[in-house]
Amino acid sequence: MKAAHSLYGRLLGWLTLPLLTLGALLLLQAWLEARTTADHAYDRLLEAASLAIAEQVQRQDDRLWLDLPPAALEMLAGDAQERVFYSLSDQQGRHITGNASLPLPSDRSAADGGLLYRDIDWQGLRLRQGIRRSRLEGWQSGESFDVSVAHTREGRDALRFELLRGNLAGILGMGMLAVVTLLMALRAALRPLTRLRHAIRTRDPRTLAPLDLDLPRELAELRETLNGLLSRMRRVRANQERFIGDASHQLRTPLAGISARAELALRQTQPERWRAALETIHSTSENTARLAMQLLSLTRLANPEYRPELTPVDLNDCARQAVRDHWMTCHQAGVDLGADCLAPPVHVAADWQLQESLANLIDNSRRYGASRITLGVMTHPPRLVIEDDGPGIPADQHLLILRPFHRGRDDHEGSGLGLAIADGIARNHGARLSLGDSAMGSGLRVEIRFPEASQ
Amino acid sequence: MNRHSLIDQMLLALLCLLPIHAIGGQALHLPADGDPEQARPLIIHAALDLAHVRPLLNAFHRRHPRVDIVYRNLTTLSLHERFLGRPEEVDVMISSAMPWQFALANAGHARPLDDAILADWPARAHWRRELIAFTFEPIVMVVHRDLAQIAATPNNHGELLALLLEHRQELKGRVASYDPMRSGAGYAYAMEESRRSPRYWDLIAALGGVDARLMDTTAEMLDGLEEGHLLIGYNLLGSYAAPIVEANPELTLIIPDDYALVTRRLAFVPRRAPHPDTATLFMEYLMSRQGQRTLAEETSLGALHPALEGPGTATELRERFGDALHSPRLGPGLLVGLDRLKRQALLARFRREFQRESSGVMDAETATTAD
Amino acid sequence: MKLLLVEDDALLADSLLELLRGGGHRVEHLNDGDTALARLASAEHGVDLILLDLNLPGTGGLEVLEALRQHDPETPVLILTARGAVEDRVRGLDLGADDYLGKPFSLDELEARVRALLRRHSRTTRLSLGPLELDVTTLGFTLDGDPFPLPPREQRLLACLLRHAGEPVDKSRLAEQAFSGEPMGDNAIEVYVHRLRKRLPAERLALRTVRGLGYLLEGDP
Repeated sequence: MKAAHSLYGRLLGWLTLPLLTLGALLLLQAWLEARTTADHAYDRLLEAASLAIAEQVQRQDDRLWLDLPPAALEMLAGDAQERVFYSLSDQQGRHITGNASLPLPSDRSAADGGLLYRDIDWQGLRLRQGIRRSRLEGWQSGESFDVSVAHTREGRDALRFELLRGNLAGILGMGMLAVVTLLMALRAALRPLTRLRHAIRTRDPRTLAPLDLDLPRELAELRETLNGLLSRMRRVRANQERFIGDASHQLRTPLAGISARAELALRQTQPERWRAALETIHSTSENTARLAMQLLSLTRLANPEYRPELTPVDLNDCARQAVRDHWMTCHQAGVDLGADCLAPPVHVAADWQLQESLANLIDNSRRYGASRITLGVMTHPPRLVIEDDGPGIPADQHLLILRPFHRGRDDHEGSGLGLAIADGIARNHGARLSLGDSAMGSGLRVEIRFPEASQ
Repeated sequence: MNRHSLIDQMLLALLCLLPIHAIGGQALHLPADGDPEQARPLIIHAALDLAHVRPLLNAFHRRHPRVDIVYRNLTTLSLHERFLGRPEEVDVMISSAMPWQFALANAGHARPLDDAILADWPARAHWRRELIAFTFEPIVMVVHRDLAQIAATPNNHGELLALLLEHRQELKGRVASYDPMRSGAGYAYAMEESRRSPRYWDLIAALGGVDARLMDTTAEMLDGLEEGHLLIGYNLLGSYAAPIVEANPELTLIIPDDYALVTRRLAFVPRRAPHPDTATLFMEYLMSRQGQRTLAEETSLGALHPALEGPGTATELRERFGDALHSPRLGPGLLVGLDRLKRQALLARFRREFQRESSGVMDAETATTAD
Repeated sequence: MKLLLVEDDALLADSLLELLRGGGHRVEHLNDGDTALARLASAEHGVDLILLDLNLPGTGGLEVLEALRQHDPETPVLILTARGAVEDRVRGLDLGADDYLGKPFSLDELEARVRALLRRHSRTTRLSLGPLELDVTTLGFTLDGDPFPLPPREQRLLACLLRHAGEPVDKSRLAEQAFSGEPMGDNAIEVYVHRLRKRLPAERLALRTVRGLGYLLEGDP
């Protein structure tokens, strides 16, 4: 977790960004609006001045005549003492009079019948120009002419800045208000998080009881997730507690047997009796140890939270390794253990538990009277097969035998857990364990069928 | 300047008609004291006689001896023409031709001065801090003592009109005024007066009725008055007339008490001035109390500085004549005078009114100079 | 041979000590991981085989193993543990253990593993199994002290089996080690094994077939 990952900072950032954007847009709008407003206000001067001039245009001595009203020019100058320019042009665009030959728009029809405003750059001066196209009235010719007036932009700029300044104060005020509100809102919104943290921190570490805390919806989800986790932890703990109970129960019986046998032997004096007792104690203790391990395996498998870490494994390697591991034990017991592997590797997703499953199956076969055990690998779908030549299991027992503590054969060697463990492991691998009759004749055939290779 | 050319040509055509009261070709050089290497050059082009400006230049030079002053006195025509040709050669432009000076400033040729320099200068006496009015010169009437034998001395336009109407025969040929068709100053006064008073045209008609002589310059009118064959001179430039009248007890200078036009000389520092610092220094001096006092006391130009009092100051004239004094506002209204059509219209009206009561016919020369 | 037994359970330790000393080894016994760590800190510990319990008080067996393998990759280590599951075995072998025995184990199996490990890691030049002896430097065999001449391929095959006596050896491994990777079909190995089997005294040395896997040489059947 990086230090930069502050929820507060991130929220602030993401909320400030649009706020700043909005502020910038408002400023831009204020700027443009101030410009429009200023132009609008000052364009009236252009309108009035051009009208005043146009009204004085008449036809005299067969040509356009203008009696220039000084007020029109004074009006244009305004308080800001703008520089003032005017010109009168005839229909053909010829300059009639004026103190400047102001440029006329190339598309003159645009100005026809009204007033055209535009910004121009004239002789290095930034000017606002108003062009009025008028017609002489009362004359049959109806000749049109253009009155063009222009002045510098100082008054407009000043007004614009004044308007902007007014707007700016408002925008800044709003911005400050927004920022303060934002900060307060953030603090208020994040307060439940602090409460949650406090509640978790002050909890008794041993308790797995659900959190009972009134929180807003988003954090309630987090609380529910936490409670879900806690409830799963409760289930795991219950599972463990049950195992401890089961294990102590299962182990107590053989230990009691050992204890009784030893006690009995100690009352005797003949060494043959001692030897017999020791042999019994030895085999019982071996079985008890195995029982303890199997119980552990089973509990692990029964753990609802357990998920195997699956990696690609060659079933051939698996079978060979099992043979390598158990050959000596089987050999000493007079059992012929072997493998029947395929040349190409057969990959499935599996973890170390698979070995444990095979160990249990080999052990199972050995203990239940097989003299020859063969591990095989088959493809399509990938399968591990363990066949023996033991007594086998009747078909109607096949499902029952997979239950823990169920013993299909009348034998006191087994705990009845081996096949159950193998089945559990197969399930954890998404594989199916099935029992059948061995091709060798009477024996048992256990097949672990994996889903078709996914890689 | 291409776009300007048409306008400029028209302006120059008008300038040809300006009064020649500034005699061209006069020049003055006040070299800097001390090391010429460290001299700060200042080039002034003006339409203002050396006689009137010399005290001012001397005073400035005394105050800033390191400034090397070159002063050229030109006619208003050549001043304007030379500036448009070479706007980068001059530091200060001075002229009484207000519309023309204003046209140059309006077109952006002038450089704005610092606010500090203009701090106590009246707002109406400058335009955009670029164009500065620094004198206050009333337009006056001058009458000869002999008029007293005919009638009482007129103190205002109304009395003058009555006098002209009443003594039409006695005054025939003995009244003079500016010719607005030939003189720029005359045209400017006509323009102002026609805007000012509707009775102006009655006055022109009355002047026509006495066959008033239309002249080109104030000096010409003063000559006629001094010689005695003129009894009334109407619309003379006060600053030129004052020393003559003072020296001649037969003449009386009258500032009309109903309304009196006031002309103001305008100065500006061109945008492309070669020595803007020195130019600014000069402008600062021109508007300073010392400079204005020099104008008031050592010249007849009339100081405009509002804090100065006493003879030769605007304050004194205002005290005497109050609202009657009328100076054209420093603003784009001045541009109207330069409008070609406007000029034609005004002069046509002038001719019409002047001939309305006239017994004779205007001489051919005058009639054809209208354009 | 000098053996080191690291085991905290007194009962088991006593039994093992008795067994191994009975087998003619010198056995040193340590109770916990810390002393084991100290004992094995130097490369000159002079131990030929370590029997290591994983569940030790103090430093755990796996940590002892890890520390040992930092400076000593040679000395064979046999892990004894009650942890049971195959996952521990995988970890132990990953860390450099040579073999693994889950508790409970039969003493026979322990003896066989110890014998195999010692043989495999023997620093002596002679390996023996029952009546058979091998001079590692010359690859010369003797049987009951008499020279036992063999054709070269059978000689190498037998040497390989002898080195791994008591444990099944894969056919592929035999082909690799005995015939130096010469292209050799499974059938060819079977032929050599068949010949060897006929030469060996069957009542004292058994060359057994492990179905589907390979072969195993065993003495005293």
